Amino acid sequence: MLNSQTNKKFLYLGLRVQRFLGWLFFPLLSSLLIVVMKYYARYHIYNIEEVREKYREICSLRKNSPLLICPNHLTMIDSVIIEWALGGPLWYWLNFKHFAWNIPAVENFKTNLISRIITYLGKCIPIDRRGSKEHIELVMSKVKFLLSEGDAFLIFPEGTRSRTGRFELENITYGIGKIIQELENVHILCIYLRGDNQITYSNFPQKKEKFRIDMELIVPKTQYTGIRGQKDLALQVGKVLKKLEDEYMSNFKADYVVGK
Amino acid sequence: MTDKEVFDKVVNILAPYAKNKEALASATNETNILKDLEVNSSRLVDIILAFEDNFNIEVADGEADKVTTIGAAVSLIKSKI
Repeated sequence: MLNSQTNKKFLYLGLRVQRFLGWLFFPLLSSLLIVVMKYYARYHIYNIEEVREKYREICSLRKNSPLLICPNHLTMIDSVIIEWALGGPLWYWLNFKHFAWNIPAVENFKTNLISRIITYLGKCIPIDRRGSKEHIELVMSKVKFLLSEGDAFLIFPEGTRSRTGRFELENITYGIGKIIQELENVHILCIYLRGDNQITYSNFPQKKEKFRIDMELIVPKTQYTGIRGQKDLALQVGKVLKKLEDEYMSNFKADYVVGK
Repeated sequence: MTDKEVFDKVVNILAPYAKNKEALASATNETNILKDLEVNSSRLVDIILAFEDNFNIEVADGEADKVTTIGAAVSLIKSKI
């Protein structure tokens, strides 16, 4: 028991150190990422100002309540694009808890030393999706600790990139439901991100891609307990994402049929 | 309900989730739900909920984690009906 508590203390200390180092190096890291996104890849987000204003409003509304950002998932850098869209470097630096943590798959995280350093400083916690139950529980305990400290967290409810190019409600994982169930008053920011030329999933969006972001904040509640409650909560999130996708398709891609 | 009846009902419940239909057709108590039947791990919760609905039982979180094989599922269900 004592060992387990001591281990947890070290674990949480490690996360706080990671957060501090992330904050310390953030000006460098964010400058680097902006150069890559804006000037190398030449990505553009149509409604970036609107998105940033809305996110600032949401952050002031939620105060210190847990904030879980749940986007659809089409490329390996969706989380980077979303972080870029949600806030400017200076605002993030002054409000670092709103710069969301995320949990990339370990195979993408530990490819080389540079990617390890960047992802460590970029508030990432690697997860081995085929890992043991103990490993998954350890990662989930880190997620819950950081959320309870008021840090924002980004998790893809689909777990992996959509193989059909559309949000797959039937493939949603119920892990987010468990997090919502175990913490108080979890705010969920559902985000739908899509580029004009994104038809299906890929490693990266094509260069000069132009994105649109739609989002909706919900605070899911359920009358059920146990795993039925977890499923209900996760499905509430999934249904909002599906609705955002349907709205996107009807407003911007009326002739889009792939994956339907 | 006999073990065989529970077993058959469990196999029927697993059918929509099993990608490996051959393994399902020759399933035994030792058949691993994730590895042998190639069920997506995210769908285990749906399967447990289907057990609850079909057998009118309640499965706790900790118990659900122990359902790795068809035999484990049958034993769990038998202990509750």
